[in-house]
Amino acid sequence: MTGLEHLGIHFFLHPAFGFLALALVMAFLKNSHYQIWRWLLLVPPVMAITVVVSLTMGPSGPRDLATFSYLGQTLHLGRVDTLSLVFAHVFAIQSLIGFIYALHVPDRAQHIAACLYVAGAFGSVFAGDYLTLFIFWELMSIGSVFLVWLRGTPTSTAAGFRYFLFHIFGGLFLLGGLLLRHAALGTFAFTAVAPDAARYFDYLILVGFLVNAAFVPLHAWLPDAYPEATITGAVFMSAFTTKTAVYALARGFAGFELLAIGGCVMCVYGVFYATIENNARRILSYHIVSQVGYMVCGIGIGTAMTVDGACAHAYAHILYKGLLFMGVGCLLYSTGSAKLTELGGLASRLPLVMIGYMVGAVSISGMPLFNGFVSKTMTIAGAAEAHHTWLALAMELAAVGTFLSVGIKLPYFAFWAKPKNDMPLKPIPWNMYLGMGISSLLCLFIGLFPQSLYKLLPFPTEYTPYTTWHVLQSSLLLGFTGLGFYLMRRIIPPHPSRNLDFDFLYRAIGRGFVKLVSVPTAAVDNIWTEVYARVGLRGLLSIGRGTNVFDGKVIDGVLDGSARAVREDGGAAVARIQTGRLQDYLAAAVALGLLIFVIVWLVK
Amino acid sequence: MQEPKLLGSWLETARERAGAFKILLYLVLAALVVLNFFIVPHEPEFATEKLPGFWALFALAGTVVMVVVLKKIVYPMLAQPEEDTNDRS
Repeated sequence: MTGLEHLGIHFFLHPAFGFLALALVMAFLKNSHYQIWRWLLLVPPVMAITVVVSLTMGPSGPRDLATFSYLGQTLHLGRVDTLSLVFAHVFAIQSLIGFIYALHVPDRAQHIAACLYVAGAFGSVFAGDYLTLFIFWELMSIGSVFLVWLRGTPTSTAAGFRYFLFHIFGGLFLLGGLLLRHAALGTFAFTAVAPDAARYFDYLILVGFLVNAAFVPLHAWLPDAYPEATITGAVFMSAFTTKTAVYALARGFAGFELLAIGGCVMCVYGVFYATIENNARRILSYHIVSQVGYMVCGIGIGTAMTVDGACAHAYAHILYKGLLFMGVGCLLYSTGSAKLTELGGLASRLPLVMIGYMVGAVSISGMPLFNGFVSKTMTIAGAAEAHHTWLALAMELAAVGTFLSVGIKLPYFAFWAKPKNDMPLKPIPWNMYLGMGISSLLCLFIGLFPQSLYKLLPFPTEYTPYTTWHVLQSSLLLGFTGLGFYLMRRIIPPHPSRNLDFDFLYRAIGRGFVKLVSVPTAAVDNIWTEVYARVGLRGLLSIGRGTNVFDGKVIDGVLDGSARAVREDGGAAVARIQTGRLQDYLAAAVALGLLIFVIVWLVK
Repeated sequence: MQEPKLLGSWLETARERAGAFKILLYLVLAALVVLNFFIVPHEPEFATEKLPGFWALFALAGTVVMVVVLKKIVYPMLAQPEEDTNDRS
C-alpha cells in the first residue's frame, strides 16, 4: 500500500472544497438553466467518495493532512483517522444519494444551502482543532436553516427561526467552552477528555455538542423543524447534523456516564412521541432522536465494542433514515400531504414508493438481512456485555417501539388502512426513485455483508451478528410487536394534533423575552413622548426657526444635487437590498463574513 | 415516472386476501415460539432470556402497554390543536 499512502498524503483534496466551490459557482447561475447545470450537483459527491475511499486505503494511524496558519493560529483541516473516516465515508455516499434525489429541484438556492451544509459536515469531521470545528459547525447551522426556510410556508419560516436560535444557543456554548479551554490549557486541540478529568469548559463544549445531538431535553428543535423543511432538504438534514454531533461526542466524550443514561432516555423518549404522532415526517424525526439515543448511549458506555456499535449504527442510520425520508418525501410530493389521517390506500398506486419505504422501515427496526440488524444488535450486545443490563433492556423496548411506529403504524396508515385511494397523484420524477433504489440496495448489501461495514470501524471487532439465537430473538421481537399492533388496531389510529414537547417551552421563553423587552420599552417610550411634547418641542421650535434660515439658504443647495444622484443611480439598488427579511440579512452576513475571511487570509 | 401497474394490482389482490396473511402470521409466530424451546442463548445477556418465549412476551406486552398508556393517558394531556394548515408542497 506504499504507493497509495503517498497518494493519500499528497493529493488530499478536502471533500468540503468541492461543495463550497459548487456553491460559489451556483451563485452565478440562473434557475431557468437548471436542466443543464443540475448535473454539476453530482460532481462534488463523486469527488468526496473518491477522496474518502482512497484515504481508507492509506495507513491506519492518525494523519494531519491539511494545516494552515490563520491569524496566528494553526488550523487543522485534515485530521484523518479511522473515526473520522467511517463518518466521512457514509457522508460522501449520502451526499451523492441526496443530490440525486434533489436533481429535479430547479431552485439553486436550495442546492447552495445543501452544499454549504454538507461542506460544514465534512469540515467538522476532519477538523483537528476546536476553532476549525466551530467554523464548520456554524456553517452547518446556516446551510441547514435555509433548507427549512426555503420551503417558503409561514410555519416553515417560524420553525426555521426557532431552529436557528436554538443552534446559535448551542453554538455559543461551544464557543464559550473552547475559548475558556484555550485560556486554561493554551490549546485548541480537539482531543478526548477523560470523564474524571473534565472541567467546566469541557462541559460547556459538551452542551454545545448535545444540542446538535438532539439530547433530551435539548432536542425539540429537531421534530419541530425537520418536518417543515423542503422535501429534499429533510433528506439531507436527517443525515448530517445529529451524526456530526455523534462523531464529536465519540471523539471527545466517550465514557461519560451522563451520555449512557441520557442516550437511553433519548431511545425511549423518541419512540413514545412517535407512537402518538400523526405527521409522517415528524414520526421519522422523533425516531432520529431515538436512534441517535443508541449511538449516544454506546458512546457513554465507552467500551471498544459500544463505540464501534455507535459508529456502525450511525453509518447504517444515515442510509436507512435518508431512505425513510425519501419515501415519505415522495408521498408528500405526490399527494401534497405527509399526514397519516389524510393518506391511506396508496399501496397499489405507489407500489415502488411503498417497497422503498419498507426497506428503510425493516432496516431501522433491525430485521435480519438489513443493515439496522448488524449495527443495532452490536450496540445492545455491547451494553449487556458491559453489564448495563437495564440500559440494554430499555434499548430493546425502543426497538419494539421503532418497529411499531415506523415499521407498522406509518406504512399501514399511509399505504393500506383505507380502500384504494382515488386522490389525484402528481407523478414522481425518476431521480427520486433512483435515490431510493440506491439506498435500498445499500441497506440490503450491508445487512448481507456486515464485514463491509465492520472493517471501517475504529476498533477491531470480533462481533458476529448472524448467530441462530440473534436471528431468532429479533424475529420474536418483531413478530410479536406485529401481533401487538393487530390487537391494538382500534386504539392506535393517529389523530390530527400538535403534541406538546419542549419546543413549547422555548416558544414561551421567547414570548416572555419579547414581553420583557417590549413592555418596559413601551413604558419608557410613553413617558419620553410626553416629556418631549411638553418640554422639548417648545425649545426645538425656536431653534428650528433659526436653523430653517440656514437650511433654506445653504444646505438645500448641496443636498439637492446629491439627492438627485442617489435617486437616479443608487436608490433603487439600495431599496432592493433592504428587503426587511431577516433571512436575507443572515445570508448577506455570511457572504460578507466569508469575504472578510478571504481578504484577511490573502493580505496576511 | 410511471409506477408499475402489474405490481399495483398484485398488491390489491394481496389486500383482498388479508385473512390468509393473518393465518400465516399466526403460524409463523407459533413456529418461532416452538423454536425458542430448542434454541436458547449460550451466554444469556439477560437472566430471563433462558425462559422460552421471553422475548415474545416482552414485545407483546411492551407494545400493548405502550399503546394503551400513550394513546389513552399521555396523548390527551399533550394534544394541542394543529397550527400548520399548510403541509402542502
